[in-house]
Amino acid sequence: MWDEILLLFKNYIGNGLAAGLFVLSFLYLLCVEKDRSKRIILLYTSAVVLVLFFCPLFAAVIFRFLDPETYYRILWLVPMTAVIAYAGIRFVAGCTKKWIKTAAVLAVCGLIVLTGDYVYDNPFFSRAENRFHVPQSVIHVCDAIVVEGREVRAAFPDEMIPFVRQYTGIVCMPYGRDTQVERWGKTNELYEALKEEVLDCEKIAALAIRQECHYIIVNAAKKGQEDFEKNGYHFVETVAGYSIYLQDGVYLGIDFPEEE
Amino acid sequence: MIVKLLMLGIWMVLVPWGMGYFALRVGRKNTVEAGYAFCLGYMLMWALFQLIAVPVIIKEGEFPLVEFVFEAVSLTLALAGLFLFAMQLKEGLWKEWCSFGKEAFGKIKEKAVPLFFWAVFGAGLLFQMAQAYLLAYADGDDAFYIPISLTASQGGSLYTSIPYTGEGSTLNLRYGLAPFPVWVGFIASKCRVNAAVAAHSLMPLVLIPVTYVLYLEIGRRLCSGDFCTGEKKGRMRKETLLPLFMIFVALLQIFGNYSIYPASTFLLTRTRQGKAALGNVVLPFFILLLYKMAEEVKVRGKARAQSVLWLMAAMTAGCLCSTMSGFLCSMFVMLTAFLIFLLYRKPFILLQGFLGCVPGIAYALLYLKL
Repeated sequence: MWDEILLLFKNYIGNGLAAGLFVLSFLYLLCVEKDRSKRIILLYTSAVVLVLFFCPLFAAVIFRFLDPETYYRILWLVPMTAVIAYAGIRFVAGCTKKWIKTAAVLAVCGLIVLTGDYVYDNPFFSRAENRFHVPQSVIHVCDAIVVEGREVRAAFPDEMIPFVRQYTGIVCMPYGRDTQVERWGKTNELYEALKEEVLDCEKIAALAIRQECHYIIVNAAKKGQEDFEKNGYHFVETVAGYSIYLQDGVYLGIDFPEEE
Repeated sequence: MIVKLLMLGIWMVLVPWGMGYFALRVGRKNTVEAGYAFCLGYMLMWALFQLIAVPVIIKEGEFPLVEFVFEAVSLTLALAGLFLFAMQLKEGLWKEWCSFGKEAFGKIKEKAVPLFFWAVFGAGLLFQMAQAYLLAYADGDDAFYIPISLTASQGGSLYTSIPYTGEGSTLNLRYGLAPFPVWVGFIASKCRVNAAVAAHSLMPLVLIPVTYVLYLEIGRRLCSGDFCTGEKKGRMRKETLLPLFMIFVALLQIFGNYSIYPASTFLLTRTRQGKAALGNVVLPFFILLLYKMAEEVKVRGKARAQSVLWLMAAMTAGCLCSTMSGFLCSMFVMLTAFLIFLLYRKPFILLQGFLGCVPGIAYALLYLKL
């Protein structure tokens, strides 16, 4: 339990520099802040939350009822932003000469910048291709296969999976993002087959038919996809670098025969 | 686009502000702080949405019912708030503002430093809003939450399919009890945009400033006491320290990506998700409210009944954002109440804190029982 808590804490604080700045701010306020209400909200609550976070007994109880992966959110109760920013202004306010004040402001800003990490350097950020914030290729492919008034089902390649159903609710999939996350343990043979460098069209088509896929979408650069034509799917068009294959003879209209 | 932004302004600025104003002003003659009314309005609006949506979800009802009831109630309260505001303007608030504006304009040279700090902070805020609109953050959890918003706003169904695939399913209460994505769907429906556009492009334009309004309110309260009265020679005044506080807060958010877990990272990467709202709107509101309550205990011996009501509203709002919120917020409230009790020796705050936790406990029990 202790190791798990420690690992969560280490993952939370990253390189630890920002946590160091928090500790510095905490100690500074502990010395200079006399207002009891402020001490309660900024200092004592933080201290007790941290003690509880590291308490194995407390963690054991939480792990029992809640998802252990979200245990780190206990640390959100430590008002790091408010403590550091408040300590910053207290520090600046304590300076009397004008040039010292200016230097103090610059020093606090510098400390925040140096101990932190610029959020927009995060590799998961990219320039938005549209207002949906999903890849434009997903929009083009979905627009090419949707039929207004009914759902269609399609097997998409790995890179498109998380975005398809953010763009449209009427395109369904035999597998989703839950299959992509290995530790969740969900598997799908069709998903795995579509990830292969050289496509086994016979296997993929058989699996896609069994999983009721109207369409199969594959990257147009992938090798061996011509064989879909012999296995129950025919080529429709290439859109945004992706080939669209439609199941032979499938009905994609919106007039369904009435049930007797 | 203008109409969409106008609708966004109505539903994410005017309605919460009107609701907050109404709650603070009704039956009283006090002056209402606009920023605090806005923050409180968000809590009331989310609490109201939670109270309407959860029963409908459990009873397997549909989105239009939630939409209709929420729209009717929230608009009524917001309009009542705007009416009270108009009355206050008529009673002389407008003249007060004008004289304040003239006085401030007259001393513009003296206020050059605070104005400069405010400009720096404003530029930082605009930068974050622009980045939220122009940059896409690929987060896997969106593949779960946004389809819920989308199926609600376009298909009308609530938690009746697996968001990842679209296959039919039964309700999973872990998610159904915290229907923040349904609120996103509501905003999308009102703005007449796809839920992905609302979640990724529009909502950060409001939710990021909401966080800063909360910190502004926290800062306003923290900038009190000897250190910022300017009585001692050379000391900085509150009017200078407050924008400086906001600059530090903005920097801490922009440079807060030391790991993927802090609330600051969530604010600028996953603004549209309930957990980001919990960490960056609901929890800062608790800090603000609990500080106010501590001050009330110091002066009056106990917190105001109104504060306990707001505590309950914030607790309910938290439950809209995340199922874990009931536990997290209750723990925070009881812990702080206990510390207030220890320091001020006023046991009544324990009961008031507990009352504030009741909605959180109720949702937690509902989750465990169902």
